[in-house]
Amino acid sequence: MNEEAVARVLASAPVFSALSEAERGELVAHLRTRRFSRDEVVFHRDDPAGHVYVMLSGTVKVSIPDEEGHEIVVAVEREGAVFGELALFDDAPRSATVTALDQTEVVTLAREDFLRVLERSPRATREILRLLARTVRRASGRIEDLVFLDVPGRVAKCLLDLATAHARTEVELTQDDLAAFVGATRVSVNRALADLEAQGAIVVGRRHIAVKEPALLRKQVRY
Amino acid sequence: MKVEELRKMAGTLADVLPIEILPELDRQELAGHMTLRKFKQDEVVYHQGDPAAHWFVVFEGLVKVLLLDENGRELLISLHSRGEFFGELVIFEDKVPRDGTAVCVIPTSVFQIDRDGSLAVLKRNEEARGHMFERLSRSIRKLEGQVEDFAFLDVTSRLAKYLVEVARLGRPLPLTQDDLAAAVGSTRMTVNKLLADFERRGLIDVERRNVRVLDEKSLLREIRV
Repeated sequence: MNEEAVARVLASAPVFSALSEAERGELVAHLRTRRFSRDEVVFHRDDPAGHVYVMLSGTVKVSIPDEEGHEIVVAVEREGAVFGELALFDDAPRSATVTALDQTEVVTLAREDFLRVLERSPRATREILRLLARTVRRASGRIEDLVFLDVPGRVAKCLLDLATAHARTEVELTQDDLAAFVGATRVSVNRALADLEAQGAIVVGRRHIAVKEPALLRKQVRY
Repeated sequence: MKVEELRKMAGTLADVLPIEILPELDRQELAGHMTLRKFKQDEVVYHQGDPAAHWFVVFEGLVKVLLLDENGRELLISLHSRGEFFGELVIFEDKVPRDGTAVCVIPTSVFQIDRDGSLAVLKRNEEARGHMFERLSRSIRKLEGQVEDFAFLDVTSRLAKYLVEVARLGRPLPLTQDDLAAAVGSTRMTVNKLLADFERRGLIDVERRNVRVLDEKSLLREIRV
């Protein structure tokens, strides 16, 4: 395990960035490295949970089965992403299946090891509670978007949000990721993107989308 | 109302709230930061956008939280009955306005508890913090499930699923068809038509402010992705 790389990833990962550097350092001793090859399942929906995963390299998809058992991809995660983090706070089973899309390296951390560090740090506890509260707020915001916005509006808002969150004009996202994120088919997302590109609001590349005119995107977000 | 009286009232929620995790002194202190407020049916506890300084626990009744868009459309995001919290994000986030409007579905009494007092108690009690972690992750899981439903299910499926979920709570919730429409992100007219169809086929029985599920299995078959 390349400790320096791990420390860097942890420092910018949501849950862990709430800890001090010293606290993160304590956690490193408890991390375990795991490697997954293409199509290997990291965990299944309904599996018992007890670990959080931090991605060092590779790509995974997060999916849920529909009523007939077909797979619906709800997110695609890459290097630096954290998944399964709710396992740190309660002992409910996994809510989705995670599968490696290519050679993937992760580190895992057990709930007890995380909580032991957290118990001694009221400041980090407060930070993490705030983070969870924000996640609650964001989840209800996403529902609001799904209900009140049409697909072009959702696509535009998603691009704006991501560009603002990362303070960049380039959003690294495939059209599949985007479709999963806004809860629409790839076809309708494609159409919305082509439309936005024709207007000059964005430029669509292979694995990224460049935001050119945020004002034009904002006009699409009509409730 | 006297602190002692409030404490006694809050104590009756012990079957649905883990009050025992707080030491005696902190229960006393929390009661000192509490008031009991009574609302009529349809009365608003707080409005979306209001500055927030309190959180709430339902003593009796039923509260719905609505998200409103600029055109006045409503989305019913959650329901809270006896012993349940609402508006509690205020404890963890300072100076963030309410992101929804809380309205009483029926006559309702709630404990209103102020933020600062609660924070002090939370700071001293690790078990209580653990409890809040669990509650927040439960809310996140629930909302993420709703995100999935809205992304992948059509209105018929969402309504069928919602009716089954509400029925499984095991106590009738006095929801109107407007409430149901707001909960599944549709219009009253559509919901009305779907309910009539479900009823005609013997899946449910529609009464005033109550839908009884008669055939859960068939209703579940209405859920298609």
